Amino acid sequence: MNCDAVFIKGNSHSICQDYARAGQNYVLLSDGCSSSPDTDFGARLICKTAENLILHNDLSINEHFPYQVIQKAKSAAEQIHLAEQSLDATFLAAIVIGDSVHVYCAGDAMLAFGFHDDRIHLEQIQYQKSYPFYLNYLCNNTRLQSFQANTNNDLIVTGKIIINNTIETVSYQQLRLVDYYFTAAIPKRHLKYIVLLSDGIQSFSKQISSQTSRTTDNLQADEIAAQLIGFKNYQGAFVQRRINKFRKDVCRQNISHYDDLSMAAIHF
Amino acid sequence: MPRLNDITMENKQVPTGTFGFSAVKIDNLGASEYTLVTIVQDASVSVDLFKKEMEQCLSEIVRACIKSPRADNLLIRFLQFGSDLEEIHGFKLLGNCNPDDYKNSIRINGCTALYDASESAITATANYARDLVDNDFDANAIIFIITDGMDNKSTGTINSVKKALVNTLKTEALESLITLLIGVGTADSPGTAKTLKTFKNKAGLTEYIELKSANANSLSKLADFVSQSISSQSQALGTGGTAKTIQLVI
Repeated sequence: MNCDAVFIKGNSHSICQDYARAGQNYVLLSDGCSSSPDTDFGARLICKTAENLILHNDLSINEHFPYQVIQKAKSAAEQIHLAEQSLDATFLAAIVIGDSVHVYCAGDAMLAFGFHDDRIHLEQIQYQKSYPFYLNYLCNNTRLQSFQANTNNDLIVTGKIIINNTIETVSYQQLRLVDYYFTAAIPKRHLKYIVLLSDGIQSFSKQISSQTSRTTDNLQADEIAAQLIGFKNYQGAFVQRRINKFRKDVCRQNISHYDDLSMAAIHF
Repeated sequence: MPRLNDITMENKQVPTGTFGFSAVKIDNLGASEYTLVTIVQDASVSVDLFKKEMEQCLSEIVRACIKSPRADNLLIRFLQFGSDLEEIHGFKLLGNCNPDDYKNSIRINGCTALYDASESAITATANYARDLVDNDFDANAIIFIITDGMDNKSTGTINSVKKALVNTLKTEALESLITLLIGVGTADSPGTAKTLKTFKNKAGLTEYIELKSANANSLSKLADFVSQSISSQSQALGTGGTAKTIQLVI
């Protein structure tokens, strides 16, 4: 089993507010809200707190794990006098315990499940008004109620299957909604790998130039993901290598991304 | 003598010529980027006068590279040439190199197949870089060609070396490539120095460096120069540029 993670800054950001971390049997990812203060700190605190919980086994890895993470991260943020909103960040985790991989997703993101028969199952979580759920809302009733009251902000889960470079929409899901975030416990023998991606995957566009015009074409997240998770090998820094090569390839095609992008993967 | 049987390595052929090379299997590489270092060492009869000092130089190069913060991103290959080419070892991770393995590693034989050795080193580098890039690794390279004399044995020519360089750059597998021709002990032979400079210019090598004497002191300084150049080229990887120039001061 090998785990690796990487995060890169988008063109429109001066600071990278994404963070990703990999350990021996886990990967963690957090994407800070760009309109809240110091979420670069917040994303790191959330991942580091989750890591501490995993490594020190303070609390069980169960469906309440994300709630435990945000509680501890909040205490850490208060210690260094960060604003409450600094923890406005998504949280994704994949943790291998025994024969299962426990997956958590709070906020907008994309997950890819790679199977031994080379099928890839993509699940993309989005919010209609682009106001994703943050675990941080669970620590403030007023903010949670405000999030609940936003009735036009429907949760959209899109499933796709990639087989032999063909992408098809599917209705079944690996992830299960628990209150406001998703979770799953999947036998690891079924999987070749799992990949967590921040919503920066939706921010890719291609510049199209002619003699008289220059426009940009927004690219589909699933098509970008299909290219990005085309791993050639799985040893060492395999995610870092893949993203390095991917960036060079897309640069040649005048493709860029405005939002930060983080990617974390476990190869079983 | 260096350990030649290593299960982490594999033999590879090149499309042209008959001399292949060996290198670490891709599955055994964990980093995201590597600098491919090749040291091409003259082993003709005239080198016998300073063979021990040269072997000491090679040991010092490896010892310095092992201490480099970029040691995990270096793959080093040693090739020697007299009348024949011989690979002391293929592209190997620094962690698997032992500085003591280079004692008695130079096998003195015959004449100076300088052009064949240079062409082989460049082609092998390009070939392995292609493999790395196809597997999502980033790579750049630096090649040191160390000789005390003019070519008098090669089947190839200066044009063969130039063609190998042109083909390498066409593949775009390497982020950058530096080729350094080092003339050793040329103080008593100005003709040799002139011929080597001509070789450098006509083949399109990056630089010619002259080491007028070949003794323990000068070769120790050569070891410093080589290891610093390797470090500099390795630090340049990922920037799109090449190493900053290191001066050899004797």
